[in-house]
Amino acid sequence: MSDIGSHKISDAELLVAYLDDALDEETRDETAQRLKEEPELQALFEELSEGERPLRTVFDLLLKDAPTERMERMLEEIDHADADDGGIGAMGYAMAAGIALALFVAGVLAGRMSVPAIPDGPAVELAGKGGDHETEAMAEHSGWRQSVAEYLALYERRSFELMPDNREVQTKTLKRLSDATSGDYSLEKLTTDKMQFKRGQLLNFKGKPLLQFFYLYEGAEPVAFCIIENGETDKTPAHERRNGFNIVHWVSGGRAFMLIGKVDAAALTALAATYAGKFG
Amino acid sequence: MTRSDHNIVREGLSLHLNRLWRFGLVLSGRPDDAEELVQATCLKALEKSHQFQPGTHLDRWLFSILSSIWKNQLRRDKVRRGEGNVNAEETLVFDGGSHLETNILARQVLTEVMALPEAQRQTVFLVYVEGYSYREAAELLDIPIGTVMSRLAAARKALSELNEAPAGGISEERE
Repeated sequence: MSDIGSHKISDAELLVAYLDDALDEETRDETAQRLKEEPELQALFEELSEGERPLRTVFDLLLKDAPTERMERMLEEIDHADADDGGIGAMGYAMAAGIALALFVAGVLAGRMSVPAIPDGPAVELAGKGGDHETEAMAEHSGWRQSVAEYLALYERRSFELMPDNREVQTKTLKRLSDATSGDYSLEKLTTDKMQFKRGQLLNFKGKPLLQFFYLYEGAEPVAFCIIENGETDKTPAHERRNGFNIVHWVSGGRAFMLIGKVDAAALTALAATYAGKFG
Repeated sequence: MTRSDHNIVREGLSLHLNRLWRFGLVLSGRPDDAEELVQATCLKALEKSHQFQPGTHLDRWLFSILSSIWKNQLRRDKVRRGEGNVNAEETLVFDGGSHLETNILARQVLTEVMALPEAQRQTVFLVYVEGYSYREAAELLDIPIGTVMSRLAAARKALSELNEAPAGGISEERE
């Protein structure tokens, strides 16, 4: 970025532009070099990376809530009023505005009571005997797994690959998460031979802390290990599929665990045995 | 103005209604205000269709109209009525349910972004959701490119801090 006038770029702005691939080649190379040499800059980079969210995908979900039909009708009315006026003058638009406003008021009043039907969320593909349906009680406990599956589906593989690997910062983050949840989530404990740790984060699921640890499995496939304290009774690991992901989940000591990813179910089950041994 | 200008803009409006509504929602925080913004944008765009230059991005032109209407009219009216500040908790309340209701974590992300100060929120939306370059966002918002950079950096920091306190409040800081 060479054309920002007299604005003096702060390190945070520079790093965000670096993350956004908005720098010119020379500045990008200089920044990459500085990142190798300056630990403080690395820490800031990691911090800013944690501000990453799957924004495009999340906001695309919002498009499904748009009152499309009503807006189409409004546009059509404006256009018809214009055509009826026989011209495209200011008077035509004034009339159109009046009609559209009336429609808008009527539409919004109606809309306050009923918003157009929203398509159902992605289908749940539960593993088990011949398309079992979840009972209400099951759904209550599996709701967090469905939410995690839907959330994970918003991430692209590239998002995982771009997550920086800075051991020092990862250790600090995990210490913070451990303190916040009174748990032991050290980098050593969370890492295995096949699971390259990328990042941990704490989310809020219906008022309960939900820990999410991101990995690349065998250096390629995104996998998340998630934990929520929900007071369920103990359950041994079981496999299911949701939103195209394999999931192995279990409960121990009032905490529910899940490993989720598009890796082979047998491999995920083997990983679950390792993680259940470490965490419960 | 020719009928051809009018038709190009009319077709473009039809194609981009939902995206315009979403932009209106990001600016105003309320579905009904977003709809009002789209309506005003349709009227203005058709009225000014002769000013659209074929071969340029129609969606960007429409976005700039909507942004200008928000800046010059609706926001002022809302502030006058004492509705200027969007409360994140009341944001995105769709009577009758929403696709996002089923995805709690996606909704959480949306709420986090909607809780950012308006200036940051609209910049984040244009760059990260609509794919504007920094320069394009600066032009649409009529601000220096350095301000785009500082808003994005501030927004990233705010979002990263939320990772540390997921159940906590959101910064009240405003630009």
